[in-house]
Amino acid sequence: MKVTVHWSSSRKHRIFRYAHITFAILGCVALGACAFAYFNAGVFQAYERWHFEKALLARPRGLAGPSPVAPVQSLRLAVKEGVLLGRIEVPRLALSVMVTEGIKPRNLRLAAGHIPGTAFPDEPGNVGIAGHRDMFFRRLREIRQGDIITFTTLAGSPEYSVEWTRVVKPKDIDVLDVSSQPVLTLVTCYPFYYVGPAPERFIVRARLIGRAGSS
Amino acid sequence: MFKKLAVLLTGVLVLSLPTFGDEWNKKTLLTFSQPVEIPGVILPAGQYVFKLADSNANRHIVQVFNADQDQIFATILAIPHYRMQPADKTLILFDERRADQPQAIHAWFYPGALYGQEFVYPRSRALELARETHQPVLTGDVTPTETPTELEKTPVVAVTPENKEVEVAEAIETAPAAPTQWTVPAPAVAPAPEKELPETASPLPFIALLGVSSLGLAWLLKTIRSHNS
Repeated sequence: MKVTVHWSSSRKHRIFRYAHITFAILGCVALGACAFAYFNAGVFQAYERWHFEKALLARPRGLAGPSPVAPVQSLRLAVKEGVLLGRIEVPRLALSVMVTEGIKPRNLRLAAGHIPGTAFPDEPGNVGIAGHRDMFFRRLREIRQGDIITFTTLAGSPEYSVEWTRVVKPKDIDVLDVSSQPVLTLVTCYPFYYVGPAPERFIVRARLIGRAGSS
Repeated sequence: MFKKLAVLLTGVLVLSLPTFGDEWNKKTLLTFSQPVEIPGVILPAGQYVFKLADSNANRHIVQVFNADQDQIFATILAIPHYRMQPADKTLILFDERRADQPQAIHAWFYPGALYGQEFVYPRSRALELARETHQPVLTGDVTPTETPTELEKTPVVAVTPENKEVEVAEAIETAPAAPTQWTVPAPAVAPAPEKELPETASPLPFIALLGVSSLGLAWLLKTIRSHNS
């Protein structure tokens, strides 16, 4: 296809020039913002990982126990909105992401977030964790039944085994309902490759199988 | 003691289903709409069975199970807590806590009972509670994983906000706790934490697409301009 434009005046020429510059700047700013967001999240994750490792080494031994009941120094009492809660790992997928308390947009830009109102990992019940599918939970698309998920916290490191995955509507909040058994529910958006607000949610449900490093 | 014992149900919806246990073990199914604290354990919102341990030596050891009673969450030492008038329904007394923290259960009364179960907290937690509530809190060498037999002979004292241990008799007022009105809310399941599942799609893909499109358009405009100049 041949595009032919007849320039009748220098004014049109200038308009094209300004439009070209404007779009170039807009493109650079947008891509720069994306790069900054990923860089910021990466720095946050690296710093919090380093900080968390130090805290793990310094923690009193008594805090990590094999008991299914929470220690006296409960995470619920210790953790506040936006504060680091722990680290979720799926070894088979080489997925490792730090988790903070809360699911405010700022929290989810930097880490996965513990969903308020759900159980904490040192408590019985349903622990809900949400993460961006285009940042931290992208690899969940490859998760499958039987995969091991470790949730390392200063109050113990429960290990879960994936029972099922499911795609649900955003209003299907029953996946976060209280459970009499200790379970972990990961929530991210679905489809994994989608521009804009995703119409569905991808759910990973795992049940507690033990506690790592509790000896 | 416990003059300012906080009132019932402050912010916590407690639903007691009709008791289905017998008078011996006081078995009661409780539904909490928000997390609550019992000695050594935070119970998330949900349904739990409270009942007395099967012990002849001590009738003040409470066990907390899940609704199916196939998982025990805690075995709690308690002492008798007297009321002037029995409540006709299950009564839960909470210690006063900060708004951002789960309510701590102070005592549990079975319907019709004059004597309830006042919970004994582990030492470190009892001191924290005493400092928060500015009242003595019962304590002892207890953990929620102990067996009833281990708890039967555990001595109980009270810890003051100043971290002094006093005898229980010194700490408890002679006057019993004032009667409190118990209202049973409409049956409800513990509410879900959110109305919708969290939004976990960041705007970054859209912004990136916008950026690439803009650069592409800029390149196209430049090409057209240079082609025609």
